[in-house]
Amino acid sequence: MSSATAEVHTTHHHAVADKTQLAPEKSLLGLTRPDRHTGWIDWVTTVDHKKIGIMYGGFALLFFIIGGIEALMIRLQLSVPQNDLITAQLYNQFFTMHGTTMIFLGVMPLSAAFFNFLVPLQIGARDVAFPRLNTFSLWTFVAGAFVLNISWLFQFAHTVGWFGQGLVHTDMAPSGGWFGYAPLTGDKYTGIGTDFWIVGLQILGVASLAASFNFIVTILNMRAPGMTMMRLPVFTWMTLVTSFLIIFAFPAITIALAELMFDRYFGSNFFRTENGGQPILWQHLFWVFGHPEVYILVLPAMGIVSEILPTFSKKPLFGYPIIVFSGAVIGFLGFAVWSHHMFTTGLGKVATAAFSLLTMAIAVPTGVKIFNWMGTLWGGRIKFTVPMVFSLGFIWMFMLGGFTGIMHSSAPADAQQQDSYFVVAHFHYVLLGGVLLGLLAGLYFWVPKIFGRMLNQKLGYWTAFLVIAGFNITFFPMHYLGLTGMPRRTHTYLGDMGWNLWNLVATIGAFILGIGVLLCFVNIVYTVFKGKKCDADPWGGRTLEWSTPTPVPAYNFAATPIVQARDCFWVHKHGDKKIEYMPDDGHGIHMPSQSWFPLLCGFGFAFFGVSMAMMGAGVPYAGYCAIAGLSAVFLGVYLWALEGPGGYHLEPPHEEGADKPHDAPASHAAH
Amino acid sequence: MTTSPRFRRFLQRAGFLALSLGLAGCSFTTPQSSLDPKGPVAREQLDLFYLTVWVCLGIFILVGGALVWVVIRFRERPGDDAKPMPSQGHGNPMIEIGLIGGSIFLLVIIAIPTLRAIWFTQGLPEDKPYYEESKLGTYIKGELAPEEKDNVLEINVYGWQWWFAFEYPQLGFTTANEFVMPVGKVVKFNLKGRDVIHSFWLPKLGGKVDIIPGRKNWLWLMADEEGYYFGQCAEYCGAAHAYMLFRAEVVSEDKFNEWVADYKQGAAAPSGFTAKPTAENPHPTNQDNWTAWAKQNAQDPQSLPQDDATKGAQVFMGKGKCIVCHTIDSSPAGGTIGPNLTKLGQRKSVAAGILNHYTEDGGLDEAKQAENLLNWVAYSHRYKPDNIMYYQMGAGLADLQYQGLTYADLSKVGITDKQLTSAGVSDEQLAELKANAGDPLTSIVSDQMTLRRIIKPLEDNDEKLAELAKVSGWLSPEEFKQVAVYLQSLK
Repeated sequence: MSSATAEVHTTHHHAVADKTQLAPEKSLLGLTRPDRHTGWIDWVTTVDHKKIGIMYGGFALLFFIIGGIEALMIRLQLSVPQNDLITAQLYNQFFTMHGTTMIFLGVMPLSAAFFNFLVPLQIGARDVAFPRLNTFSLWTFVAGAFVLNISWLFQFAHTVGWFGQGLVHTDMAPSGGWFGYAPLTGDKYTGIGTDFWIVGLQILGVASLAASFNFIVTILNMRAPGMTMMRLPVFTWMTLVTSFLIIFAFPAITIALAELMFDRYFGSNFFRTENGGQPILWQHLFWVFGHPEVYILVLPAMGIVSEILPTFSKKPLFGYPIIVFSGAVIGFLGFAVWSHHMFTTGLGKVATAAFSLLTMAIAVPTGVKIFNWMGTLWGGRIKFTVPMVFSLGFIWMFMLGGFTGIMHSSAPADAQQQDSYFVVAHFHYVLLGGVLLGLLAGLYFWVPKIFGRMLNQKLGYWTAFLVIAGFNITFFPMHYLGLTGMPRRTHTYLGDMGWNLWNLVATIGAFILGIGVLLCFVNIVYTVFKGKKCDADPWGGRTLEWSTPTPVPAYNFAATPIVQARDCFWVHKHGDKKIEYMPDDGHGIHMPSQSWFPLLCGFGFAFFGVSMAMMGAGVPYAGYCAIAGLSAVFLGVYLWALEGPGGYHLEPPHEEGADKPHDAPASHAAH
Repeated sequence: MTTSPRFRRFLQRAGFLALSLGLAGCSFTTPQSSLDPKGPVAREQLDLFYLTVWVCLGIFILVGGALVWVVIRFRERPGDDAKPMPSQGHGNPMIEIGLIGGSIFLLVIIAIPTLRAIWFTQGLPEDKPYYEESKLGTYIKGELAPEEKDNVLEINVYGWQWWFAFEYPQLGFTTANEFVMPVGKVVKFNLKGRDVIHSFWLPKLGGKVDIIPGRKNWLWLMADEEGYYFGQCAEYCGAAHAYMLFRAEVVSEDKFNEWVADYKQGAAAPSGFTAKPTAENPHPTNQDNWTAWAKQNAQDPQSLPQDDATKGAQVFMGKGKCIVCHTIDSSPAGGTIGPNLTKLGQRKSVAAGILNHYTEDGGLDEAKQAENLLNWVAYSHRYKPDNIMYYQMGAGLADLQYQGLTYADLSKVGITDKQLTSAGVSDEQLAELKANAGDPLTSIVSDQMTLRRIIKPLEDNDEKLAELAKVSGWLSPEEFKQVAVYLQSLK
């Protein structure tokens, strides 16, 4: 909100040191604002980007565990041929939900956690542009995740015989694959699991779009004085590119999901082949979203690594403009290669050739990033901290995933690889070896900033070893499995195909990987509550977030910094351009009011989603419940518009230097 | 990170283990391996793959080696803190441009053969010497429409959940799950989707192309060697996707002609039954034999040979209702929902490749075949989840289980009132059932799902199923065996 309107509504406030000292204040609706609360009411109504970031992170870790358990069930089932540990249907549900969970509920929200926590701090802002919209994004995400996963409860209930009378299809949890290819996801072939999936993803799309608009506006408009675009930290740049990718890519899947929903609920014929529908239309729409989605997952991790490598090499990023530009080029080209997911669908020679060449072209900006990261290391003073080990692992594994990507880009060779385990190996090298290692690097790097406590470094090295070793033991053999003809998404395989040994090895590797990831999460949870305290700049950071005290105060910066250079905090500490601060205006710091209404929207979405699936199952009056749920969402938005912006003033403490950067030489983590 | 001697020893052992596993466990000639090409398409694709591998390996050695060197060379050493900061260079445009140029050059090395291979694999190889010899007129011995003489052999592939139908439109017959093609001849496969999307993948002969309803996809393949080739559906297509396999039997030109001639004859009548030759028809065909068989079977079934094959055929054509879905050429069986069974006895697998009776030397294990056929017809629901032979609404085998069953029969097979109500039988229906204990269940409860749920508790119990067969339309173990024997006789 603009400060001008804020002034009008907040003149009756006296600045206070702590928001618990505020007098109860009524909003324009006559309801008391939840500003004064602490504890859970503070958390569910918060508009503080840092708390929202922490909650995104918490939910992401929870869903990483759920998605990980699904992955381990998949690997257990495949450990030996002709295994009957789980049924084919359950296996299909596990791989569907594993993919959907890891992409939409694991990696994306963990990236969002970093966006939220870091972007305002990195650009010298006090919050995002639209704090309540940010809260809305969080609870909408939680609602979407709830709708997707509540389907397991229905599946369980069906299995033990609570429902299912009269249902033709018995899949209550989604079983159509994360890619949801029509016509398999039509009402003729799959049950309400697909309805949960459609509505869940649609809700998650709303959350992602709202968050992306918020970050774009924040990054373009809320930068501190002197923070020009070409001085932005690379992570913030990648957040900006990712946000643009989301707002351009998600409409495609929104349309696809809406069409599929109309086919299923209202008998339209977008994909129903018996009436002349075109299933290929789904594939185009899905991959126009689906390929940029890969970069939506990867670019934040690249941004993280681009922050960590310079920090622990004690050098600026090599070729900053080229790294930024190549990120944007990857994002742009990402929209021009979707059909390489469809090389086997009969595109015709010319289209196949065009998408082959465009896919090869995308290797250039990706390679450029790797060269520039090496240039950053070159001549530096490399310190093997835990985040650095993960970052180096990222470069290594991502490079391997990139190579198999080049192999896929050659369409005739891809005809043998498509839909085989070779592809499974490829994208896990990119998404697990790449993205997950990048995100783990980010966690080890920034958790000390977020919680003021240092993660156990010894456990960190063990995590890195187990994750990287387990990951390679799991996924490297899959290259071989795919080349020798093992198709993906198969719940079992015959024993005489030569696939037995490497499937068993992959399963063992998956458990090593699982132990590694679990170790990391245990480390994080323990550290948040009991970890060793650390100071505000434990790594010798380069960007503005390290200049704030730890834990970061609600207002981030007591006075808005004036940025003089790229890597301004590093230059401030080691160079000649010191960070200056805007003069105090004597009014205290204006803070946005908290609100219940984004949470109401979240509840509305969750109720809407479950009701839609029930409508698909033919439950009476479920359609009216869906309308009621959607009405609750609109009511929430309407009331939040009417309650007025509110706001209050905080007075930062006045001890000398408390809010100024720490000039002391960078001290490093003990290990 | 410090490496203790113990840790180093551990790494050495792990490395040794990985290497020996790698050498022992990596055969390139496994049944479905794309690394063991047996035709020009697969070979072209593999050559291209190896090209990408070599280029990538080259980059990997250069970039990976440089990365390792950089990380070791520029690591922080004790005492470095005292030294001045490393040079704070921001980049070097010449290096960047050079590396970008180098990358583009390497991609061009891949791109040109890629384009060539796209045109080769996606268009018929009309400029190749073997194309001329692949024209039907040059090798098909039997009758052939004149306009087909200059065309290559075409096979229409139909993808169904979860099996393949292979139609030979130029030769006029259809087979399923296993097809036969001649060695050294270009064959064109037209891919025709019928329900969901499937994908036709025969790795040793070529990469996959999707079978999409409403699209006219096709591919061509050629095999250089005779043999029994393994293929599999490669697009996720529902519950039993893993069980949608197929095989290609590649045979010599002569054998192919023999096979075609044999197939066109259709199936002989059971147990060698023949119609009596008459003056106007001195050489009765298989179809004549079947017509006579069917007539005699209708008038006086006992007068037919009382062996298992004939009894099996009687169940197949009658009580078992198999003919609703299956075709056996020349016979009265003409259903089109399920696989064509005309030469089922020749195929080396059943159930779309999941129950196998091929032998190492390319032969057929008769004992195993008998066992597989019996298991498949009697217990298909245990082998392939949601298969329509068992589950198809209105035409599935499962519906035989409750047919003719009365309330009085239910207790005999161990189904209680409680099981009835939990399966969805209402209280009024239950009262009616009790009042009319001798009436068929289906006259009171008409919902198929409910009927199936009533029977569900018996499905996994062989003894209960045998008991059920005594009182309902379900087939007895003996009858299933007879069907299996009959099917095996379809040579």
